Amino acid sequence: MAKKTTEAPEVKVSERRSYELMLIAHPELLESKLKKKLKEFEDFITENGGVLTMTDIWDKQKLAYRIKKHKEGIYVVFNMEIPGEALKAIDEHLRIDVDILRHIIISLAEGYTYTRFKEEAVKPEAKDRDGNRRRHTPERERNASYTPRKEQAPIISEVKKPKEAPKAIDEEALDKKLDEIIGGGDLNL
Amino acid sequence: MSKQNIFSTNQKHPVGQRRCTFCTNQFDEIDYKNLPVLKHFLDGFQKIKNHYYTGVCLQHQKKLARAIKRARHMALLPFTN
Repeated sequence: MAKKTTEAPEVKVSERRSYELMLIAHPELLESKLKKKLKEFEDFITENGGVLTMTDIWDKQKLAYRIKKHKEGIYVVFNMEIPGEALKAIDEHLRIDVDILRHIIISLAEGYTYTRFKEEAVKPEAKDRDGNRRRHTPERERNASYTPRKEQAPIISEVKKPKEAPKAIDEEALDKKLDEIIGGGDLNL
Repeated sequence: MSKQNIFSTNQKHPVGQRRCTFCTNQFDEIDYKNLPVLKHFLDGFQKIKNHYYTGVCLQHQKKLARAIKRARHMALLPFTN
């Protein structure tokens, strides 16, 4: 039994592992409040015998679906080294907090380096890579075909205007012709 | 940037003969934050594609599925579309 008691504290120190924590903060949080919260959280981690190695705050971002009736959220990513026993306390701490919509804790591999992936630079290329190249060219052709249609529309309206004028002339001419025909028609009949 | 060009080249091969892009290019760590990579393995309905069609080996398919599910939990990807 004595061996076990001696082993337990040693294990606690050696069990400090690297984790990644990501959380979605309330979208309407002010920066000052958010910084306060993060400072509190850092203190909370240091109390539990951990060390924060990296913090990254993303900009306000659209969520893929609504969480607690919010469409947007502020993403914050931490990398930290903590004994595994403290994770439960952190989990509860985050779960109870009202201003944090959701969080996730992930254990990291040894050779992990944090990289921030940017979608904006990738998006135009991704469209090309998705096999949409074939689709893109016909769309452009369609767009090209659309523009002449728009050009045709005013031409039709121009054509209509002259059509109206001859109609008025035609009506007068038709009246005369009809009169002539009627006049002549009566004789024929 | 070169790493993400990998995923389109695999589609040139026929369905049965596709090799795992993660194995061939030594792309072992699949991060749940790396959305441009994950989106290549999602359906039009945002479902995970079968590895038979993408050619991913089973080891990497497991990692991929885990990454996609983590991204869904954090609202980086939708569950359905």
